[in-house]
Amino acid sequence: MSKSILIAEDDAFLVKMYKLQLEGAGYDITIATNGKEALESVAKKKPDLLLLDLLMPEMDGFEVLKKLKASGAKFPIVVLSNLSQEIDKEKCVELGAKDFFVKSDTGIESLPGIIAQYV
Amino acid sequence: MPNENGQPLSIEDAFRLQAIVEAIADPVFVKDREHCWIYLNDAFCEFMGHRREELLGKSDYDFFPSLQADVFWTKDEAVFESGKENSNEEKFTDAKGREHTIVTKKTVFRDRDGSLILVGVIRDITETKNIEEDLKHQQEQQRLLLDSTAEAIYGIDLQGNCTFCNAAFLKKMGYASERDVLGKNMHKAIHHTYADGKEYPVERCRIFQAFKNGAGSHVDNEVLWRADGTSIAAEYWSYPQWKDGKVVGAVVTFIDITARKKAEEADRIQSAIYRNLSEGVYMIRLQDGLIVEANRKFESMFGYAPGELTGKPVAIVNAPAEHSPQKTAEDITAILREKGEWHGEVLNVKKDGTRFWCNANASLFNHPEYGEVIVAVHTDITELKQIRDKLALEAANARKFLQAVEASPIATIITTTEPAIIYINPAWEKLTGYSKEEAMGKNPRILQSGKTPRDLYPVLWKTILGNETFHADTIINRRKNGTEFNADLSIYPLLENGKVQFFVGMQFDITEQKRTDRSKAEFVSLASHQLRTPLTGIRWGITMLGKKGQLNPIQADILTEMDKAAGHMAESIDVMLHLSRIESGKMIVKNEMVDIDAFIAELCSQFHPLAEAKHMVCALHPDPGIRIKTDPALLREILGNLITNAIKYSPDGRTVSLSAKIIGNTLRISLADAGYGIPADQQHLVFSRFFRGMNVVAKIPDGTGLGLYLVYALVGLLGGTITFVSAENQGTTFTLTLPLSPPAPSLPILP
Repeated sequence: MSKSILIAEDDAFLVKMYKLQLEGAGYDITIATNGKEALESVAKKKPDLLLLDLLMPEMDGFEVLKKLKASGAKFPIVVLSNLSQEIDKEKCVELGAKDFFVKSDTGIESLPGIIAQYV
Repeated sequence: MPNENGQPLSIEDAFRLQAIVEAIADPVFVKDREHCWIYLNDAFCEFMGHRREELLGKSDYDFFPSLQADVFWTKDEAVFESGKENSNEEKFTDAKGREHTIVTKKTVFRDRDGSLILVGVIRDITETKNIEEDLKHQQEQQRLLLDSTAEAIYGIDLQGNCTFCNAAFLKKMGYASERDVLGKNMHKAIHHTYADGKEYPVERCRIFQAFKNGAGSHVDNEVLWRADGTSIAAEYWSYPQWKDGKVVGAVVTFIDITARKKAEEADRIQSAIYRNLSEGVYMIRLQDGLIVEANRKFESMFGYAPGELTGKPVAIVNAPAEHSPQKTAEDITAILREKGEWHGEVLNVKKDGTRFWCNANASLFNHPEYGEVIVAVHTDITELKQIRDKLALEAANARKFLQAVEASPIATIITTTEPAIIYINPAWEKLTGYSKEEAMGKNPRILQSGKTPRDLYPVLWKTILGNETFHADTIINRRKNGTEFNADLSIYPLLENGKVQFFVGMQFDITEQKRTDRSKAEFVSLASHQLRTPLTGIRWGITMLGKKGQLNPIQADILTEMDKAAGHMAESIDVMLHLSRIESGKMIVKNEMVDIDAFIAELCSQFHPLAEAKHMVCALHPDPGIRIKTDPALLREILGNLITNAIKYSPDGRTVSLSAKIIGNTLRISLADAGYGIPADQQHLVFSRFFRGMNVVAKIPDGTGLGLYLVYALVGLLGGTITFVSAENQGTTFTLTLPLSPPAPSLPILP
């Protein structure tokens, strides 16, 4: 069975890029455009990996991390955000994120490598 | 004279002796049993002062008072009774009233008719007795004289053994009685050692020598040793004792001059003190106002040669009246006459005309030779005056400082270590709402709100009690009216006698500043996020276009350039965000123990791929075992930037070498490359914003020009310094110096 990846990202163009990069890699990809949707998706089906943006409408990534941590979620979460301060990174790690990447400094081509590390 | 049988001699024998008896000079009498004289010789008659006829047939009772006669009778009777010869010493007063001491030898004989007679031979020993008594008296007198004199006296025989000594000797030398010294060798007993502890051989003893040449000696610089082992300084005289033209011994007298020696020494010391005194002393004869004496210091103080001032008028050392102090010489003399002494400051003149102030103490004395004299002690107070002026200036400064603190807008407080408040300035009153009266003596904890991070206070106390400055900007204090404020607080320990005794606390309200800072930080963070989001789209889009699109070579080339530009932009955003945080002072500098050896090895491994791509080698030479306290993330950023530059701005195949060593209390990291170097005329711009070397801009177009600017700022944050030496096309060496532990926070700057 192919690995399921949940991508929480509100920017439609970036979602398109994610899909383009990952197509043909054999992942089962689900998209959530805000935190609330992400949690709903997790409730329906636990993903093998969550790629999480931080600043999103409705519910931000920090809140998602908090909720998932509270519910005892075990699947790996990797934060991909354009918040770049050390304090944001520390907060995410503290809330259970496995890794933290600043999107503008991270090439889309390095995405498969990042995913491969965790699934 | 009794015969062999103890029987009285016969009278025949007696008569035979008559002729002899008559010739004997001693008075002789014969008494019958009735105690009456029956025979007397001429000497007896003369002795009695009577003629023979007057005496014959009479008895003692006829010539002596009955009491005296009773004594004679009793003694005579005893001889008659016992028949034994007897010899008595008797006293009596003769007819002329003279006292006589006589010894009468009485013997009993038997007469022709068998009756007993008594023969007495008198020896008048009055004169002998008198001589004896005179002698005894004389001896007693001598003894008394010996014992009453304060000088110690002893006699010695030719062997040097004691023949006598007097009471003063015993007392002075610590002996209980004459018996303790009689017959003892006196040199061994009291004169065995010189004052300096060396043995005193008897041959060298001057008392001993007096025996040799028969001359007396007088010595006043030796010591004599007492019975208890202590010594006295003695002056002694030794007189040889002559008898029949020969020396038979010596009499030694001595006096204890310990006190005198001490007094002489004290005199010597006193005059040495006077001569060498660090104060100038001189003596003026009032009669004519001439200087009669001045010590060395006084002479040198005034610039005169030794003795030069003697005989000069006193006016030569005093400045003219208009420059003199309040008192003129006449006034001073008047006060001296009245009170005997005067103290004050005087303006003096040196030989070369220089004027200088002295502190003077003058006293009036009556000199045996000069009559009334003033002895004055002068101390140069030029320096003292300077110090006094300086102190006055300091006091004035202290007043100014106090005024400055009073006027300062920084709330300032001074506490004891207890801590109890001992000073607050008006700004503190204004900030906290507590008045001076309310705050004095209180513990500054009256300001605590309970909202300051708990773990801050132990750190605070440890810091300031360890004589280090404490600074924090996270303190939340509460005013008297209950409102709270965010305080930027610095506490400075004050040392007194090498111990922390007081604390100066300075704080100001940074509530507003914090709020502004927070919104500013939020803005910068948000702004950078807003820039990054579209940039991410651009970069990712470019990547995907290159990967998925079918582009002709021109399009592909354009896309590559676009990718570089976008990457450049991303980098710029990073650096600018970083700089904005440093510049706003919001950068939190951590303080962790870093093992430099491992740290550098790990850091360089990250750059290994970059170096390898250019066939370069990173040679690491850190000294082993270096550990410092610093912020590892910032240090990584600093070194990372430097290493990146070293690799980036070097031709392929060169070596980059890095060393780390402890110098004093700093860590020195040097990074040397053999790269393009920095042109000499641009070196002063290296750490400025957007700098890129003219020699490399064309070769390596990528670069924001912010890397070294950032490095410089970060090094500052870590309390370090960075310098470099560079030569174009030879290479550059950057040297980073960091403290082994982080520096104390700097003084707060007013917002």
